[in-house]
Amino acid sequence: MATQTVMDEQISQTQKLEVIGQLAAGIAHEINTPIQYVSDNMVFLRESWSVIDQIVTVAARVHDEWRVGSLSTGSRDDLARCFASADVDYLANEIPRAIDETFEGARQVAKIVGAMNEFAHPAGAHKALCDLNHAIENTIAFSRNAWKYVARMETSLEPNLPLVPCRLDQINQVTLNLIVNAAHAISDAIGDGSGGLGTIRIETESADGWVTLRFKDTGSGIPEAVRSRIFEPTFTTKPLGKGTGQGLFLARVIVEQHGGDIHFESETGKGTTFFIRLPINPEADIAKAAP
Amino acid sequence: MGARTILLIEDDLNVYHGIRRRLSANDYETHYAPDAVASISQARQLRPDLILLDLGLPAGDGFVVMERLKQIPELSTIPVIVLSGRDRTANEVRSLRSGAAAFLQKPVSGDLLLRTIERCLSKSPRPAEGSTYSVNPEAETVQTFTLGR
Repeated sequence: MATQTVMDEQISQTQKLEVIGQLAAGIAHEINTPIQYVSDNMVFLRESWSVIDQIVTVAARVHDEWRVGSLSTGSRDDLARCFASADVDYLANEIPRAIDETFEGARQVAKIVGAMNEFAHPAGAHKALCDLNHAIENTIAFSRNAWKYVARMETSLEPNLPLVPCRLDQINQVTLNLIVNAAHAISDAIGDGSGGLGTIRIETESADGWVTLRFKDTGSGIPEAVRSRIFEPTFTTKPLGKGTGQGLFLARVIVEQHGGDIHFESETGKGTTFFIRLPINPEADIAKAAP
Repeated sequence: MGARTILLIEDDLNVYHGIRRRLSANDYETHYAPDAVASISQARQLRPDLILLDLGLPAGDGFVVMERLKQIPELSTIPVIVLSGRDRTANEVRSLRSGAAAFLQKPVSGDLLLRTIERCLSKSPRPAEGSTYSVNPEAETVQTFTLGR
């Protein structure tokens, strides 16, 4: 492996760990939130069950006595008391909702843990055919806490997008960098947020042997003075602790190593769109490009 | 005395429903505001006895909300409990310095939440009609001021 490639790999690993480290607290938050309402709902369901159990027990006694024709006034009054003390309408309304929300919470936790597993899983040194739509959805879930307070996420992913041969861990890193960058750009643009959220829109499409990924944000745009430098290593306009300037540099290196290209369009005050093109059949392209 | 009113400022509706069920079983009436902007108008309208505040919110985070609450005299004395999934180390001291009466990290047990609510409310008893109150959480003292008419 050439020295430059080894260095790029090392920078890539370091940057990946750095971004994951930045997102770790957010991931814990994304898990803690559903655990909160799952726990609350389980306590509610346990307490509700003790009320229902009491009613069912007395109702069973009433039923047994009635069946043999000896229903006692005491049992009948007990049942009436049970119903009077329990807010049955409230329980009938709330219990199914609590169960549904508990399932939703479990699904949320499973989704974020699954996304984290897929993101962190080493893909190996060789390219494999990858479903980029799935990878993007995964990265959106994994990074949710980084964008959800500043932006709505919109996607338009081409159904049946062709599989693309790639190192998935590297492409995940590129998409994560672009999503986090978009969130930072919007955060800078919306200030304290009282004017509302911005929008991140991710699109995929295929044409003429290429898959194109577009990452649009409604941030404040890239200042003209720095547009020519954003893919340089260590170049950043972010404050200390928010970025090291390796994200876009690595995005370019990774995309080019996949035989693709990356560029952007930016309008001051309106936002930025990054375009990534990846060849569906890079070997054919290389052969075609050869003299 | 009617049920105590609690405003939960929280962007996840499912968290609201879970906490509402727990508090409802303990005679609290819980209301909901999903973001920083709605939280102030809801607080003005409801004048809750206590506020439960998430830190991560759309349209301004929980610290922005506490700052705005402090600037509004009729809301500035309502005890605020921060209830957040964010890291305790980085956020507890900042929350207390911003005026929170307590910091709880999600997931918090219903018992601890209820104990904390009761402790905060006992320091800030419901004022008599025509009066308001102020709690100084650091000194654990309650000052009562009568609004003259």
